Amino acid sequence: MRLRTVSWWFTRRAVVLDGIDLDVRAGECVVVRGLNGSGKTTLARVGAGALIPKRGQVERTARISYVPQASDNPPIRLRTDRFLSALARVRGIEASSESVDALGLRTAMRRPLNELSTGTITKVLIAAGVSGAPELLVCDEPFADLDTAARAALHELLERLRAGGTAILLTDHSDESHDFADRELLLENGKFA
Amino acid sequence: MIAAARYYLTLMSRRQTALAPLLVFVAVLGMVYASDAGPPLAAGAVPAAALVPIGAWLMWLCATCESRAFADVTLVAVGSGGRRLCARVLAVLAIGAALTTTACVWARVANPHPYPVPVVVEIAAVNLAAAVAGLGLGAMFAPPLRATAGAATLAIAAVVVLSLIVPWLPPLGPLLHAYIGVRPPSGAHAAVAIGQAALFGALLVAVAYLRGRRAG
Repeated sequence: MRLRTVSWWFTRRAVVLDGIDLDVRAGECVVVRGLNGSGKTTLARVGAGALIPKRGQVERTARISYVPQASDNPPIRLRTDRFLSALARVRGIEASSESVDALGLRTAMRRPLNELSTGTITKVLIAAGVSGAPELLVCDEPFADLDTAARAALHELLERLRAGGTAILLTDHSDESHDFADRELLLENGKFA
Repeated sequence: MIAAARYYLTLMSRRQTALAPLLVFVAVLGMVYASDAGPPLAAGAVPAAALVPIGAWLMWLCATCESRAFADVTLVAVGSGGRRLCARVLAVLAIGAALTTTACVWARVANPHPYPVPVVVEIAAVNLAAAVAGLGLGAMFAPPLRATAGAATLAIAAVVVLSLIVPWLPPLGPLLHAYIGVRPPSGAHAAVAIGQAALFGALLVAVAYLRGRRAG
């Protein structure tokens, strides 16, 4: 993934990203840190293609996965297993049970999404994101809301993906990602410090 | 694309609020065909007209059936805002086709007038064109446009009411004028009105598609 002079703003006075340059190569894990409101989520959304930059260019590979922050409970009365298989069909891949088992999601598979806790929703989004060995994985604060076992499982899943050549862009508050980050960048007021 | 449309259909089928527009359509059919509704084409035009606001309503519901996080996941999986819009349009079009079938069957069963095949086909065409016009209208005012539900409802209602008042203004003006204003309905008038309604919807979908590609 390559971002060149990428900017995004709500209004001219509320600039969120200001001329960001960023490269994430295959098999590399780049962690972006920053305070609340520094632009991490916007950067993740632009990187994944969920948001088109107002200025600048983004080049990405074809098979992208995005794991957003599960800050809200989805108004979806869809069973977790059906959601995962439907999303896999949309992406043109096979639904993987490996990540479901690794994240301890078995018991949640038959429950509707709108009845799950925020932490479990995060696990579901991670399970959806890591399946199918994407070429680029963008995760927005994936460690937030996870229990200790799930954090360890996520570490392992990310390591495996990186070893398989997946480029990983991660935003994170915590020190969880410090150990396996190839590069760490600090975002301040929409610019890398 | 088909998988994404099926996904949206599944989400809609799990959403209780999606029942409201369907029940409104059934209520319109019930009222129109409660007694002798008169000539088939004129009677069939009334539920078809209702499909414009109902189509817009369904499109709005389809565009708002996910939270932002899940909508982002779907968007990235589908590939672009334009492709996501196409999937939503296909999903709502499938519901529109089901409502069209319901309208044709209901009319055939409840209205004591002859329904030769060409008439049934024409009623189906009117209903489908109105559904396309409605979903186009809904696509224009649904997310990613940052309009509140209230503002979108007002805008859609304004277009619908205006096209009811002005006979040449699509989607509803020419349609109702062709089937209810002119007796007996002229085939040429009707074909133009159906075409206008469908074109109106297709143009709005195209505008929404271009906007979706820019907005993500």
